Amino acid sequence: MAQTKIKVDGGLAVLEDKIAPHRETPVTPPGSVSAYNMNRHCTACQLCVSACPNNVLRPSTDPLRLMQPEMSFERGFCRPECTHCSHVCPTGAIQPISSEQKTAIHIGHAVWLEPNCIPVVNGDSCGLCAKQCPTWAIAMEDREYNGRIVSVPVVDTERCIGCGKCEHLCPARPFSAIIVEGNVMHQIN
Amino acid sequence: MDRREFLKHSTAALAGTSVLLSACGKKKPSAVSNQHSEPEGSMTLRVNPNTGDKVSLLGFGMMRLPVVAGGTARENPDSPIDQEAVNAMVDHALAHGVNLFDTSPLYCQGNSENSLGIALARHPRNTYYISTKMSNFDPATWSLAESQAMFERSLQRLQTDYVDYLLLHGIGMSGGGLNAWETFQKRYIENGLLDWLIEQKRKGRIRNLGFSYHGDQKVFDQLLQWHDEGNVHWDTVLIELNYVDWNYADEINSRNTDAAYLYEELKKRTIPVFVMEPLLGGRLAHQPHAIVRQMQHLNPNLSPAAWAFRFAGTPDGVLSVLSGMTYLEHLKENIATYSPLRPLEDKDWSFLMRLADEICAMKAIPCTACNYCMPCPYGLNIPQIFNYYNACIAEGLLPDMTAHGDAEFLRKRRAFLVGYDRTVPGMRQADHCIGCRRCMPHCPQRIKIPQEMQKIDRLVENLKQL
Repeated sequence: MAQTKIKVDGGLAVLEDKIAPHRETPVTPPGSVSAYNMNRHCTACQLCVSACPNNVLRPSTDPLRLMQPEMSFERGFCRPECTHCSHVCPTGAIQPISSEQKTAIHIGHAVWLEPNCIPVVNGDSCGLCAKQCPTWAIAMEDREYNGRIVSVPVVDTERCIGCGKCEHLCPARPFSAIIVEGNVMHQIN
Repeated sequence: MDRREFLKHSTAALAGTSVLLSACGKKKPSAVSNQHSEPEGSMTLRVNPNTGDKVSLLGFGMMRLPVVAGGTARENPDSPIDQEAVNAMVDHALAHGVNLFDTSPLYCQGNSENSLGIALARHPRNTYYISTKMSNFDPATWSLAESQAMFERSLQRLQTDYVDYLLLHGIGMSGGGLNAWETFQKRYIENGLLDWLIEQKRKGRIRNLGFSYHGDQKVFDQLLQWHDEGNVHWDTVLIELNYVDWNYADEINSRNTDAAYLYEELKKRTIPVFVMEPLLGGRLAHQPHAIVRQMQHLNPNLSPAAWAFRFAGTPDGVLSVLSGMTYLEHLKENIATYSPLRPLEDKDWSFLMRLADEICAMKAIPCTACNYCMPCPYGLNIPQIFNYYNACIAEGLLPDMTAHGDAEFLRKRRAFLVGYDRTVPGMRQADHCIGCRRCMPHCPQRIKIPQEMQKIDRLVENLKQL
């Protein structure tokens, strides 16, 4: 039927699946202390991968860390109250932690990718990463793009614990406009 | 006993059994359910003072039509309309005196008019009235040519050369960053559309011209002033009327107007009133247990929906109560309620006003699941989220954060979170709202959708972290 396309009621926007970004340093779960500790102790038994209720952990395909766990946030993020993986690890690659301890373990830090960011791309006001950040590590700053002033995120990496909530919820698809880079050694404070 | 004798005896025995069985049918333990059976009398009709048309008090709204995959397009947005089911319901409606069918070019993702046209073309044109709308919400359709094309398309899809009612759709709503009055000017005045429509009415292509109204009272008052001054004659106005909106529309949302005010203003001018949302998008049919019990106590045979329909039909200025029905069972029940209408007595009226107090105090989100906000560009299923939240409030299942720790709270917390994930897929949940506010101008209830999303997300997040 020939007709102009106008907005009607109902329907759901098609959502493209997210694609994992390339990370310089892989993100490993809280309790694993460092990439070195993980690499040395992990037997790639997959207990942590199968225990992860947030669909964050998956086996690595990197030949040097083959089948050892790493984190990515297309289907969920490392929820603050969850410490499942640390309690199932039989080898000490991920040491047991409490959810209170977890709040002070910085496994990575968020990095903003300007060209993907929705306010930069289409001018919609967003700020979802800042609103949702559990540690208030992200703030919004006004910047000018294409002649319009829009608010874009800035990250306080000292506060960021690398949970990946910002990356998971970022409306930019398939590549998020804010991603987590791992810390080679988890910082505790 | 030879064969002939055997047959004689057994026939007699059979006859005896059937007599016994039919006798059973008349007495109490009955094997036949009488729920929503054939109505007792015939459909109440109201007369349109402009044309003398006898319009059925129940009007069939075509906004929530069933789809092939089950449910409505709300649950299965990609599934086509179940035309067989629509035909069956339209046939049943016509056979039981329902003669008004209301649609819009936007309903059911633009497929409602087409579906209604197919169903009605199987019946003589003079046995029913069609109502559709001038739904030029989108700024792309604000030009005269686009709006005219929309009207012509409506006629074509409805397979007719005239409509009985044409309503300017959603007056009082704002669009394109303008206020409600400016939007109205853009949609109908500056492009000369209203004059063109009045001309079509003179030509007999539109028999009654009116508007459907949401929100801004100033625009409503202005349009009625034009009517008083004789600039334009409104043949009918479609308003939201139910026992909650009667006195509480502006308490629920300060930018809405009480139905009592709208109704009285129209009645004063003998403009016949069409009613929409008699059930508030189904919320008045699915009531909390405590409220249902009060209704049952007063009359065990009246369902919450029947109470709401009796309320909407009681004011005599109401020409027809439009209800968007998905299922044949609902149609049958609503026909039964209005065949004939038993108007509310004063004590019933005040009973419902008391219930409205209680319903208001529950602080549900006033979403009627009209889906005008959809699709959300960032993928949220807005009505589904609100619907789930409201259902939890209505059933008393919303966990009370102040009581956290006790067993009851833990049970509710678990049920709420599990139910949320089952009802709304993860990537369509409230936490994905970026607050772009694109949905807000589309909401006839003027809900501050991003704020409500934040509120729900905060609750979910707090519950998860416990």
